Amino acid sequence: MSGEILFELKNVSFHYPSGEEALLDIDLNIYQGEKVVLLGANGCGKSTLLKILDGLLFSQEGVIRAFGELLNEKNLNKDELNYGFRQRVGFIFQNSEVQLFNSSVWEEIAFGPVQMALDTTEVKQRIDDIIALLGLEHLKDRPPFKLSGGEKKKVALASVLSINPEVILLDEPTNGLDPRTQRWLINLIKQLSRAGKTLVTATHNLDIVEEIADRVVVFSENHRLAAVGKPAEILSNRELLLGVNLVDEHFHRHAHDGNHRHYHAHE
Amino acid sequence: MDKLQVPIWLLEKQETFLHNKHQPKMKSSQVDFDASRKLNCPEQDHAGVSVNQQYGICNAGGYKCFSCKINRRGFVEKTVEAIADVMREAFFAEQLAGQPGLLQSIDARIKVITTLLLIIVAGLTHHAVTLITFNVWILWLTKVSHIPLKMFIKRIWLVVPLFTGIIVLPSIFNIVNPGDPLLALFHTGHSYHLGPWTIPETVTITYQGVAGALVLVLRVGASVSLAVLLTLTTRWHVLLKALNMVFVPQVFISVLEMTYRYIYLFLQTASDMFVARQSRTVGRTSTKEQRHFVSGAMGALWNKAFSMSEEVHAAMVSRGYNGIPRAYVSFKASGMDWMWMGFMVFVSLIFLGGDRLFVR
Repeated sequence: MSGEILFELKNVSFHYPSGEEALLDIDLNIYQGEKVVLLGANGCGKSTLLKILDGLLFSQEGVIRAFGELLNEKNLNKDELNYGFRQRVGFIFQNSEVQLFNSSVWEEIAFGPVQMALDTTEVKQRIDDIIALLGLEHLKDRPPFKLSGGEKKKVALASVLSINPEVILLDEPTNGLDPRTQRWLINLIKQLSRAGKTLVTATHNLDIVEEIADRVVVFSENHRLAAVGKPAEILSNRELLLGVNLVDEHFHRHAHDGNHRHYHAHE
Repeated sequence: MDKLQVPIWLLEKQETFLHNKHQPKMKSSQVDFDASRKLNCPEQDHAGVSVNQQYGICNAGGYKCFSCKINRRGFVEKTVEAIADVMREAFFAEQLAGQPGLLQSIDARIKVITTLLLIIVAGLTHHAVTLITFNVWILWLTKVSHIPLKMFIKRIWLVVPLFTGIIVLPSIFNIVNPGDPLLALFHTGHSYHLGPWTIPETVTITYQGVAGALVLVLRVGASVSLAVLLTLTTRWHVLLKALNMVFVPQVFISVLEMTYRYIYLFLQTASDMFVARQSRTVGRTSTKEQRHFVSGAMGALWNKAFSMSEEVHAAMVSRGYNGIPRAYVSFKASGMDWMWMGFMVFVSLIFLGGDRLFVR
């Protein structure tokens, strides 16, 4: 894999204070500019890994380096490192509700740049650009709690994009979105990738994997890495997907005219 | 993967709805039918409404009709309605703040400062006539800002006299405050001494007492009206930003903002919990059962709020929050705003000057 290593994880394990295991012995590198999908059944530790990559949780075992620096609590408490890290990594939470904590859409988008003490004219410029990019003009004065699920997701994306991060972490981004919004989101992810962003997406939606992944990382239900590979290799490995409990024995895929394939299960 | 072992009872088909003979017995009084099989509904007039002859299903339809079948609403229904009312109220308030009107078009900072100024004017005014004029002028402000007058008056003048009135009620009697009698209440024949109080021979309501009480009620009314007018004509988030300008600390404002933001989410969650329960409840439940449910719901909501607060904090940290909230504040006061400020100072002087004339 070419490109600079942005995240380097060595023997990373994480368990919750209750003792419940979330991740065991994870070895993984994330390279600049790539699209990585974390694939696994519910509760396998994908979201936990994303939070670790965003420096919101800290593993009890193993070493994580981000942008060449050790990513641990002590380092992130240093203002300079914290500032640099937060500016480079953005996180789209699965539940948009927790991410939209401001009283208007405009302020939501402004929150990141303002916290990072950017110049006010630049903050304003960025917000205007992002609002135009995502078509949020009609929502900008609305309070986030009155938005629909799709609109909330768009605003959550806008609030992270306004920081202009190098790496964007997305936790189950298509959950609860209608097909049209899902398609819009996938196109945006592809556009961001073309713009040079590194994208790490946790999902169990097999239909979108090929479009949003250069590399797929599969987690087993015992919280370990089960496989890493190209999307086509992983998705055609039925035994692997069955083994990690992501599909049942009726799972198969259809290839249609052109390049389109879709995956589903029926008896 | 193993086939699911579906229990046999889950596969049994239920009888057609209307022919279901095993309807649970309702504890409350149901709709009465007289001999001619007409619906006797105590709460609503269903004249002309068709009634299913055999089962007495009233086709007036809708929730209200159901509520007259089970004629008293339970705690759950009332809670759901109350939550819906709060949401409706908030939506309405936001609409009022967003519509075009005189006060809505004024810069929020100027509005906050002029509101404070006018509240001070109300506090410095001594005469009831001045205060009545001042209150009428506030009603004019309300009118030109397109706030429904009826709602505004109800909100202020039903509540203020009640609460302030209770506080000032003792001061109108000559037991507390001696003065010129306005209305004699009763005659005791002797004056009594009770510690620091003297109960005079004739207990009266005094001129001075009533005037003092009236002035206080009018002052409180004016101050509350001004504060309500400010909140009704300014969007909440803009108002909070403006408060920041008048030296309210940012931490305090952030806490208020978040409270306002999430209270609706939790109201919605609570409402969902209540509706979910309602949809699985047949007939009426006892007060004990309802209490049990409410305590359970409170616990569940508390847990939800707690885990959510952690997630929200994580989301804030992820976007650069390091314990010091910062805010982007951009207000632009136009010439119109400064003119308004001048007008308010002028009005304040007029009221204060007029009040001095009355006092003389």
